[in-house]
Amino acid sequence: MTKINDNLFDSILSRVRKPGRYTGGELNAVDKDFNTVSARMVLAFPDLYEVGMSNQGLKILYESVNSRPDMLMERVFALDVDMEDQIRHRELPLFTLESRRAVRDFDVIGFSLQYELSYTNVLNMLDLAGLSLYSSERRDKDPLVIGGGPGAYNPEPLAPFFDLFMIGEAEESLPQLLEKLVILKEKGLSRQEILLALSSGEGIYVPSLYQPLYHDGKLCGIEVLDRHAPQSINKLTVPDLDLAPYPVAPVIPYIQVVHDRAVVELFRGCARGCRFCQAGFIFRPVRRRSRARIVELAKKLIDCTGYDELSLSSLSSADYPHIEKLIEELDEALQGRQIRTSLPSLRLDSYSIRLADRLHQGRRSSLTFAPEAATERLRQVIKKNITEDDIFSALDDAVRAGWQGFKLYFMIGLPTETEEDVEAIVDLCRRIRRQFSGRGGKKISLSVSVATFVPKAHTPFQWEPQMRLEKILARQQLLRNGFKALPGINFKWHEAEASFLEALFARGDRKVAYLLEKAWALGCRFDGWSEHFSFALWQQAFVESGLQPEEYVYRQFDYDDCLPWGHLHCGKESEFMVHDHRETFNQQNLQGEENEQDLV
Amino acid sequence: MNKIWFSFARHKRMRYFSHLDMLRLFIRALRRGRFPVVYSQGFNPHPRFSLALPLPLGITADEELGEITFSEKFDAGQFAGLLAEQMPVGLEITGAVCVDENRPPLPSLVEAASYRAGMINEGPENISSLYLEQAVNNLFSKGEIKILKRGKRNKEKEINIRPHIMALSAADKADHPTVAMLLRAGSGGGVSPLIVLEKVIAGMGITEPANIRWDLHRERLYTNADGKLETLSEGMCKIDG
Repeated sequence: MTKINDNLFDSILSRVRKPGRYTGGELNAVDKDFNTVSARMVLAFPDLYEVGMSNQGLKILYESVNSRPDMLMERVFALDVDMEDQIRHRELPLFTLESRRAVRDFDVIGFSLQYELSYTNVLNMLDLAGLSLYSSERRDKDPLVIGGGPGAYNPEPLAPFFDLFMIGEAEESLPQLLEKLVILKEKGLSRQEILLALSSGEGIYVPSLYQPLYHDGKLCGIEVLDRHAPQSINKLTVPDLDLAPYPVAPVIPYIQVVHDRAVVELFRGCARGCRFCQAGFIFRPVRRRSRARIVELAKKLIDCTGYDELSLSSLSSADYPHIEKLIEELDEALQGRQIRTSLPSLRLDSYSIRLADRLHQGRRSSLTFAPEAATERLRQVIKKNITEDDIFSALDDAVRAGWQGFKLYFMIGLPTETEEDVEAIVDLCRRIRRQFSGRGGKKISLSVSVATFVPKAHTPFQWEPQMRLEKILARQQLLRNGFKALPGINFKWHEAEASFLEALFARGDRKVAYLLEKAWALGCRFDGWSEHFSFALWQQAFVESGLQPEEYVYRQFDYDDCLPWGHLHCGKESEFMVHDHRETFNQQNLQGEENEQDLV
Repeated sequence: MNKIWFSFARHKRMRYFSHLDMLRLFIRALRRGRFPVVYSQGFNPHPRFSLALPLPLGITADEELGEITFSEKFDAGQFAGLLAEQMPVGLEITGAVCVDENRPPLPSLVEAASYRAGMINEGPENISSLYLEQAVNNLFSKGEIKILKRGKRNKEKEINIRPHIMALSAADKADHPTVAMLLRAGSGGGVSPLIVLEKVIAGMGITEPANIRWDLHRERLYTNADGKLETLSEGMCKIDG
């Protein structure tokens, strides 16, 4: 067993940036005896500490396993490049924060798959841990490498590297999985026997038991290799949030992390059904936490953490029934404790502004909204059902209430989008500014962020291709030119090449795994960070792996086509998805595209 | 209202957190412990809490100081005991005292700090403690020590740090060769111990300075009372960790 001693640790930490990422020992972190528990797991987050410690899923799973006295979960995050140099140079293994023990000494390593562009970090962490990347090459004594989170809804690009995926919400099933594993290990079963035995569990996908079949290079089916393995896998769903484990004493980071606040989840899922939004579909059905439970959790959270901010989270918080009553009850429960309450994911309507106004008593920072598209037609296509009147009257209310700063989020590359839809973004911002600037001598500040649409599995847009890279780049140029004429508006856009890769992994099949390994071997890391992202390296990996990324990114799937994630199910989705996808392209919504064809 | 000064030690992993990290840590601890802290007025109320003289990252300390204002009377000893319950391993509350509300803010009183730095040589090169002693004595005997400092608009400016070095000596302690320093600090100007140690290393003619690591430790903070240095922890009730 490997542990890193204090002196060596100080020697390493004196040579890296932000050493506070690696110290562990935070308030509420576990300190359990490795040798007296029966199951030991590492929760591995393939991004920096500051990002991982902001993830609510990580806190929930940490609570669900560590609340069991017979189980242990420790944490590890991706090492920043300077720390990786230190660890490799000194030939040390990847270690956990809590006990500084080698990750490979644990029974299970569970990766949180939040974002496609962290996949090279997953491979890098396996390598730093001293494990073979490929599931087939790992031995009986090696830990099981498992994955979960949104990325597991299309696990195929990662399939050869993982022993098992948990599809869906794992907080109630993960301790049960660990329990089963302990029993199977005690029986002395081999790794593959254990995996086969686990594969019958709900939401469990063991990729080595399934073989993708190809015809003319295109996926045409999935063969189940063992008759005991299920034909298809249904996602895990927590039935009642009030009964689900919840972290009221989460680990409190010493250093500043991205979201550093107490979080209570109001409800899971979203009834809105925006067609591009994966979270809106994979977390269905909508399940609410009761008001009494929310207030109880909030009080406990503040007592156990000392945070000064309480975030009432969900995919669309203003949709919580009787939210005003809830805010009233929270105010009462937390009176005198100097707590700010915040509602992320506000919609652009007057009701949301009233809520924000109420919560911010006095403080007026900035409000963030996501109209996503600037024309009513395109918003209908993506089912973001707000009208231009909604936008203007909501902003009017906000400006009257004293807000001056607004952040607006848009997407380009959406299905049926034309150049007019893109130009409309600039136009909308221009009109917003004209309407609201100069009122009472005050100027409003507008910041506009434009992302590229990435089609995701298990959404009505899953069959749609991503818009071609050249076209995205041209549309970004169009926006830059447009905003150049609007000084004072802060315009930001996402790197189109990064979104291209995101689409590749979001809709890729198992063949994409070899490209991923190639890219990692060439040195790709932290692809979601613009300072590390190198599209040139990825292009080299395309050449060396022989994989044509365009075949995945630009492919229009037919309803009859076999989707790489077709054997994983999110409930009664199939008919709904087809119906909803068809509705997108009805005559009225298609107008824009026809216009564009006229132009060509 | 009731103003309290308290002292604390930072050891082990507590050296790796910044001044702002420490402020957050204390403020959260005070909220968990439901202390009756006074908040500033206005749109963004802040607790009336401050720490004297930020400690650079990577340094341990024996006696750091903090100041806090409560809305009601608080016994200093009781306060220290309750606060200690909220502290992580490596952070020890060592003392506390009630002070006159009209005393100037604690951070404005700090004018000097003493440090001890153990030299850890992680390279293959054999470095005698005599070299260190010579380099230290040489540096201290100079009338002027120039360094380049980045000022406003990233402009480099040459400044003389010698007046900020009040005492500097070397000793061969049990573990490692050690440098002791007394440096001016605070709003009246001063120098970081890291810069002084950089100058010491530069004077030793070591081929691979990156192999040297300092185990750097702040001992005391001082104020100037009628031309004499005095510690600010006078009169504190002492708490044993």
